[in-house]
This record gives sequence, C-alpha cells and structure tokens, in this order.
Amino acid sequence: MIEIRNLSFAYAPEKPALRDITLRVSRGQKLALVGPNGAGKTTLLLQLNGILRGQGSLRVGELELKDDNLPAIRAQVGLLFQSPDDQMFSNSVFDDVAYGLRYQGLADEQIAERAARALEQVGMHGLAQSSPLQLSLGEKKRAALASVLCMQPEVLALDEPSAGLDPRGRRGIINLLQQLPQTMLIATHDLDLVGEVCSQVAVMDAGRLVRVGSSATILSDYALLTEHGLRA
Amino acid sequence: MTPGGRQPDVYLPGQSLLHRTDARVKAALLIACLLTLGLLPVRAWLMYLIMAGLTAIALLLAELPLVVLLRRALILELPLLLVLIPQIFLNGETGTAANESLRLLGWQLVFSPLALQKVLGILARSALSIQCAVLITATTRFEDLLGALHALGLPSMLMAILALMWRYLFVIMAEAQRMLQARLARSAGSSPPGLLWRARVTGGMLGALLLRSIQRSQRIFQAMQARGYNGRLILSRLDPLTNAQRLAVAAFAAGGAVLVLLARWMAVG
Repeated sequence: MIEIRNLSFAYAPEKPALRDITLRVSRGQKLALVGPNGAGKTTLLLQLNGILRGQGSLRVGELELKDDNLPAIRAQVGLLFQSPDDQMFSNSVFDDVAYGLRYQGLADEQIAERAARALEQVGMHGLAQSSPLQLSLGEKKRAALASVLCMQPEVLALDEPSAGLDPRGRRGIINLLQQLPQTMLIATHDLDLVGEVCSQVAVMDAGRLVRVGSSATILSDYALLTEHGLRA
Repeated sequence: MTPGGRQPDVYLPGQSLLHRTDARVKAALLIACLLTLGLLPVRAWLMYLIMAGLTAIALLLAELPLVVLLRRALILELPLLLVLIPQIFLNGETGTAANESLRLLGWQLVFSPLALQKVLGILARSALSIQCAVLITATTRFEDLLGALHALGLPSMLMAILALMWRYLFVIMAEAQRMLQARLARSAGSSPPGLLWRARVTGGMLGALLLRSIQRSQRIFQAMQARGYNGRLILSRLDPLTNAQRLAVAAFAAGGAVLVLLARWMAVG
C-alpha cells in the first residue's frame, strides 16, 4: 500500500530530518512510528500526502508521489495532525468535516450524508453545529478524525492521536482505531496504544529508521526502547 | 475557559422569527438599514423616531434578553459618546450669539446649540446602526453571516481571512492569557525589576506570540493542503432566495429610500 524508498529530507541543509528511509506498509497493516522527540516521525507523515517533499521515492497504492498525483494521493491519505486546533480551522464541527469533501466536488446532499456518518463513527453526531472552541481536547481529536474519515481514505496517517487525552478519552481513541479497517501509520509515544492497535512498529531516531518489527518483538526489547528514548 | 480558548458568545441561540430568517435577508436588511440611517439629514428627528420604533419591534421579535442587547450596543457606542460629547462644548465660543451657557455643579458651560443638534443627530444614527448590527449578530451564526455577506458580494478571500481570524482570535487570546499567567506565577519577588526590564519581557512575550501564531498558520495551511486546498476556495452552495424573501428586502429598501427622500424634502421645506 505504501512504499518508501531511500527518502531523505532536510528543513535546512545542515539539519537533515529524514535520512535514507526505506519502508513498506501492506494494505490494512497498522504500523506505529515510535522514537524520541525530533526523530522525524511527523516529518515522515507529512511526506505521505506531499505536504513536505523529500528526495527519494514514495508510492501510495499505485500512485507515485508527484505533482500530477497530489489530489488523488491527498484523497487516499488522511492526515490527522497532532494539535486538533491546527487541524480544525473552520468555525463549526460540520463545516470542518465538510471541508475536504467540498474539495472532492461532492454534492451538498452527499457532503451532509458523509459528514453525518463520519461524526456518528467517532461518536460526535450531536455536536455537528458546535464551534471547535466549545469542545474538550478529546472531542476535538475525535472531530478531527471525523474530518479525515469522511474523505474515506485508504490510509490514515495519525500524529500523536492519544497525546494529552485523559484516560477515558485515550481509551475511546484506542477503541476507535482498533475498529477502523484502514491502513495506518501512527506516530506516537504511547506504547500502550502501540501494543493494542498496531501489529508492526518502526523505531526512528535522528531521522533514521532504526528497526522495523512486530509489536510484540519491539515492545519487549527494553534495551532498544531505552536506547532510543522510549523507556526511561 | 475551554482548553482551546474563550468561547465567542456573540450569537445567542433561539427559535425566534429573526433567528429563522435567512442570513442573506438579514444581512441585506441590515445594509439597507445602515444606508437609510446614514443618508438621513442631521435633524430628521421624526425619521429617527420611526427607525427607533422599527428597531424596537425587531428587538422584541428576536425574543432575546433586551438588557443584553442594549448593553452590547452601549459598550460599542461608548467610544463614540466620549469623542462626540466634548464636541458640543469645544465648538462653543464665548460671546458669540449662537452659543448658550449652562450652569452645572458650579461650572459655567458654554455650548453651541447647532453642535448639540449635530452631535445628537450623529448619536441617534450611530446608536440605531449599532443596535441593528448587534441584533443581527446576536441572531445569526457568524459563519452564516459570512456566507450571507459573500452571497452579497464580499470577496471569498476576504471571507476566508475573516473566518480564520474569528476562529483563531480566541485561541491566540487564550495563548496570551497562558503566557501572562506563566509570567505572573514567576513574579512573586518583593522587589520587582525596573520598568525597562519589564517592557523588554513584554516585548519578548509579544514576539513569542507572533512567532507561535506564524508557526500555527503554517500548520493550518498544511492541514488545509492535506484535505485538498489548492489555492481556490470552495464555499457551500446556498439555495436561491425565494420571491417572498426578495420582496421583503426590496420593500424594506424602498421604505428606507422613501424615509430618506421624505426627510430631505422636509428639511428643504
């Protein structure tokens, strides 16, 4: 589903953020990207739908990441940002969920129907007309997820989906992610979430992909986790 | 305060006739109302009274707490009051026939009756204009109002800027509030540093706030791109106005025009 080959990216020449990343994610696989702050997890997610463009090659499904394919790739890859306040830029939850659908050229009835379904999926159907400012962080995260899900993407790229949530909010997100059928890349520090949701884990550090393996193997390798700042 | 910021509560939910009226109709009526008030001659007292009566009826139709609506208008009117009221006295020149004097709390105040009339006229018009605007914003959701203004010709880019400004103004205010709290939490010493130092700290805070806002704007742009934004704004489509709605707007605008013409004819007569 996703094939990344020799991908490198730098915000400034002296500051490489991704170094020669090669990674394959199969359809339906849920892969966690773990690593210390500044490891390059978010930068890698932003490459997936072409918001940042590095050197190397990246394919999503049958599509090579290039200018001509950007609209199609952005429709396939739903990106959930770490801060829902950055992601939810509209003045009502419904408008925010409908935003991407309008760019897909759907009719108003389809937009309303898909938005309602996505909000229902994340348990937010009663709050469609609320302002994002009225929501708790957990509700904002779920609404932001709805704004991605309504576009019916094949791939979900999620940046710290459980960060800052209270235990109930975190549990809600974990349950939701377990139920979703999409291929997922989840950048997170939450190793419990990794254990419950993801079958594969990729460990990153200083822009490099250090290790890829099954969750059970990686999460039980305490030396590896400690070395890369995932255990104190 | 919510984690994201203080909730803007300009819109007051309700089920009144005004709440249910299409936002485009309300925006058009408001524009007609503002034009009418702006074009009325200074001393058209009767017309002001008629407009005040219409505004009062609209206020009642909104079925909202009157005190809240009047207080909001008064807050907005206050700066104008502070600027205009001194004009009555600043224009007065002692010894000229056109001036009157008034004794108040032992002070001899000299004022110009002509300036007084002008100021009262401006105050009446501005108070009614502000009250109408307050009423419309209290009965219309901000995004509906923006959509209505766009339907009436507001450029879409300006509309997007206003929408984002409205969305993030409160987030930035909350961020500033948190920075102030953080400063306060570390300002417990018995000998506070000098004014220059504090000014430098405040400058640094403003700079940090600006940088954070710029970074946030970049992240928002990325979020928009991720969902298909390509530099072209796509707005929700609105149903066309019904004939009855068009007729209501036309009738109100025509009524306003009649009031203005009548007032100007009476002023000449």
